[in-house]
Amino acid sequence: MDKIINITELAPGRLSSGGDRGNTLCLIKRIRDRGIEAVYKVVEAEEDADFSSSDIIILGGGSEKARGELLPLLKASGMGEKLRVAVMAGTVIFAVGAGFELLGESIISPEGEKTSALSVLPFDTKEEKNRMTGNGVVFSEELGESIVGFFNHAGRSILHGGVAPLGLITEGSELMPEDKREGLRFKNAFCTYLRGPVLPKNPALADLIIKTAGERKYGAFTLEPLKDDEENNAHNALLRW
Amino acid sequence: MSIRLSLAVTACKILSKTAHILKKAGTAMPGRFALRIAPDMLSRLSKGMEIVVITGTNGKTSACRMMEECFLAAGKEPLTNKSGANLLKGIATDFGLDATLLGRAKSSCAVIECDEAACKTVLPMLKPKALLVTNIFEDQTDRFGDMYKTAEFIREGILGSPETIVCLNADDPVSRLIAEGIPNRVLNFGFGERAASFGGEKPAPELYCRKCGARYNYDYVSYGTLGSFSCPSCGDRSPERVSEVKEIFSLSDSGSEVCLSLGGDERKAHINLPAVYNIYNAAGVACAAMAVGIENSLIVKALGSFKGSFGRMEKLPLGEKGALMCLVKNATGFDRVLDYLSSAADELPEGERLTLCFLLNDKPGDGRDVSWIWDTALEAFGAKSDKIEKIYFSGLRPYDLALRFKYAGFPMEKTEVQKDYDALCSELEQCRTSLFLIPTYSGMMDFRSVIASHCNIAEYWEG
Repeated sequence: MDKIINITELAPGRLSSGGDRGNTLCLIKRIRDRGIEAVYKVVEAEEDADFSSSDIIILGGGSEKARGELLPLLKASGMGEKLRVAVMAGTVIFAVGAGFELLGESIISPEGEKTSALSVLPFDTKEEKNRMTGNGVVFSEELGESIVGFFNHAGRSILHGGVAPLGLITEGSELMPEDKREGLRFKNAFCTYLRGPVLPKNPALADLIIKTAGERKYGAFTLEPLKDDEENNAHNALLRW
Repeated sequence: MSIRLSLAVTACKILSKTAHILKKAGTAMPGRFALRIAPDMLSRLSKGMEIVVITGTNGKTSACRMMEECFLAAGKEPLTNKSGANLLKGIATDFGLDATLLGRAKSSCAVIECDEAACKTVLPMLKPKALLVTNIFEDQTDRFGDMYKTAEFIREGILGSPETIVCLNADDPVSRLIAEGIPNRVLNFGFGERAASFGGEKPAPELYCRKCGARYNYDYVSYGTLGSFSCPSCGDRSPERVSEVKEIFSLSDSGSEVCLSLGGDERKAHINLPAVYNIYNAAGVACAAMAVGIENSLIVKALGSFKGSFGRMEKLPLGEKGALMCLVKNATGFDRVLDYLSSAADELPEGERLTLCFLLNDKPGDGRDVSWIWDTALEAFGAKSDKIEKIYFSGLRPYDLALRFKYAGFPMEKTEVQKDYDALCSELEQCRTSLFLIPTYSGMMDFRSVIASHCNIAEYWEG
């Protein structure tokens, strides 16, 4: 039987921005390069979505503005509950920036105003007045290596008790959180603020996401190594920066 | 006469001379000191001058050259900020250098390029007769935030200058936001349907109305997010165009032949700089020139004869056939250059190929985030890879480019990373095919200096 990985992207018209397209292209390419079929579909915010056949759900980095516009639409279509069911069923979620923030319990503005979010994952977002921008390096214990990319965000994640970050920031701006925790790793959800886009130049992270989805669906699931010269050069250049 | 103003102008002149002697590119520094001495220096020196300010994401510099030529055609010699210092302090330097020691401006008119974020402070000081906003696209998000914030910076500046005639891109939904709640007279420019259809039909972009959130409909698209748009829910739509490109007859490497309607007066015009985006710039400049009362015949004459700025479709004596340098700053600009390269590839004689050299930098002037390269339509250009001899990647982030090209399906064996500008320049000197250099801003400045020392060309603007 030929293997298929189904990728579903949520509202890319508003959420996919600032190079996010690269993450989607990366997952599709790295699946297909292994001779596995990748089927891509889009779910709009207003849609009565069905994630039961989705193996990977992508939420792009968007912007604060897009997040504000989408939140009421997503709440109206009951997207939070559907995504929560998907997470509990072990569906892989890959979310960046504003797409990540949408998935939390709430978003607290710099002035302290609290807006409830989709309550899919156990964390809150506190926005600071100053944006954290610049190249960043995050060490992931799970991968045993660093993830490189670019930070450009105002939110700080407050992870609920026992929830792990994606990794710890080893290089970033002076505005980085004191505990250096970056992103979130919960069940099969991978969330980060790193842009860049992050997946093409972090092939190990991309492959972990694919492998997690494949193993959940098929049990044994091995990924043949790929020739990653350009990927590794782009990765290493930021490590040495 | 004010002693402070005199002092500020004097300081400006001395500091600029000193920087020149020390060979330091200190275009903002003299203005910074002068403004400290006389904070109202710009509003006082610019009083009574006929000023056109040009801002927007792409095309500012080329549009300034066109506008300058319009004034020259009308017999006036404008003050310009050609050095490219387009923030408050750099603009102050240029006004300070133009003034007499008694604090009076020598020029009677000016064409000033202004950074989008700087509009907020510059416009209320200069109170220009006309403001041209070329377009607003996603650009340098680490500095501007998103493009809607960019529009807001410009709008805030306009609120401090209510007499200014504002010239906006009718085909750009984001630019329309600038017109919201300003008391100013607004004139619009853009492409008509026949002009937009040049090169075939383009896909409708996915863009949402900022007022009501509905997705825009497009009657036609000229490129990217530009076209005749309307919101099905709140009725927001492209306005009437005072300056409209009716038709594009031909594009070539020496420029474009178009039909331009200036307030209903249809004229054939030659735009003396290649590529479709320069036709948009020309339509915008024509709009601003009409706003300051320049005759249509003189506008058409100027658009047909102005000279481009360096790096902007600039021909350089590098390699056997010469090179064309096409500055890119963001995904929209990059895609327009790809359009241009595609048509260059299509028109090549049998058996001939192109050599391309991309320089990607991530200094503050380039935008520190290079993610935008993934928002380009490089996949479509990948189909032309058999017409390409070789692609060089350079600048501070060449490996990000190489990876992007790999994803777009380019054969990696035809590519080479060369970070050393000197070695790169020597290699390109041996190039026997048509050669295109595609740098971001700081890469353009740095690499152009290296080319200058190899090939003996002017390194900085004169005057």
